[in-house]
Amino acid sequence: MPNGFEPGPAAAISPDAALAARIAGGDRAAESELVRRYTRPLLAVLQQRVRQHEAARDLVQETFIVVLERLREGRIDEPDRLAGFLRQTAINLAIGEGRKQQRQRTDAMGEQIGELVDESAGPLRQLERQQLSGLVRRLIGELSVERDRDLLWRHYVLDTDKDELCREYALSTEHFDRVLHRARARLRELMEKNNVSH
Amino acid sequence: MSASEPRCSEQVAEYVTGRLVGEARERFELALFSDPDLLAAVESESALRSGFRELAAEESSKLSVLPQRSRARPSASWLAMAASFAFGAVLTALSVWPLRSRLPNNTTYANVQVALLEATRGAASGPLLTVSAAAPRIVLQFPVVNSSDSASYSIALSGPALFARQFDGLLADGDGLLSVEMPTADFAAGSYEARISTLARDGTRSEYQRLAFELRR
Repeated sequence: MPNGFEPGPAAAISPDAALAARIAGGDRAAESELVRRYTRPLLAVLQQRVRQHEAARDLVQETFIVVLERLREGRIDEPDRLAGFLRQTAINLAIGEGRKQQRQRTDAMGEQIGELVDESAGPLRQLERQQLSGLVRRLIGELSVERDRDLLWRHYVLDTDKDELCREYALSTEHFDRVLHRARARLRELMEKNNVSH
Repeated sequence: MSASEPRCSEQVAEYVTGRLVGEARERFELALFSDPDLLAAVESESALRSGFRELAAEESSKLSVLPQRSRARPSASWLAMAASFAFGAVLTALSVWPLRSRLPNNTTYANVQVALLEATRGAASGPLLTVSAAAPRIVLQFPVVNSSDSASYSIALSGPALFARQFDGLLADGDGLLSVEMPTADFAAGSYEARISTLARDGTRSEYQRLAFELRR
């Protein structure tokens, strides 16, 4: 080596760091891979912070715009922690969006905006919601044990405490978790089969 | 962390219902980026919860159980939830908490009590909140004035018998209200204090407001 240093053993590069390096190198396929890999976790994180599904989807797009710009310019300090960077960017954007909406609101308009937002789900989202409730209806209908139907309903709709339900139905917590696990798995199956998104 | 087994159900449920906070939530969310099973479990749990409540809301709207809006109406999501509670009670043959409007700032929607707590200028004491044990859930709402420096809010609730609850990462809704939700059974009668603090974007935390209130059952 001209500077007298010998290269050390090749350090293991994380998949995220490799992806970041490819994007910094102008690889458009790597950008698509980033979007494909992280859209779902970002949506999950954002749905916890913003109430509206559409807004969460928009923020996912904005997150990718910000992060891709930084990646293209090679301005990510820790590319092996890309997930953390994506998550934090998404949260910051969600907070910024919340503040922006609050600034835009006036007392006179507040009620009207609230009503507009209530109705803003749009036909596609409304259809998705109807499909989802239809699948849950079907799921309930498929449950052969009446106790499981009651248990799921009381857990998800009435917010009845898990310990209370276990006591009442004489179930172990493991059994309770299994009922929920099976319901989740079945709903996922039905959603995939019927191409319903959430 | 893998959710392929039901053992993670509890943590998934805690996350989806917003009960996982602080570092635990951060760790959990980072795991979502690398654990497809966990991510699928979160998505399914969220879909299942939404689907059940959507179904309940549909049925509830058929029953026309929602009351007229009051000034301090809860947000749309709370109304939907309240409606779902009502239908759920019907489905499971439980008694439906009677719908009734009380004071404008303390209203029961189905069996969810929504109470707006705000300081009254010049008042000698804080607001009096009457909680009914028959409403299983209560939503406490606190009005805040928008601050461009605030990234989020926290509320520390303290009360009798070492009662203490901490809520972090709160954002004001479109009506400028912070909302926290708890089982009413958690509350004993007595004096309470809500300490609202703001977290600035630079990470600085500062106290925004203290509000004392009396709770009666």
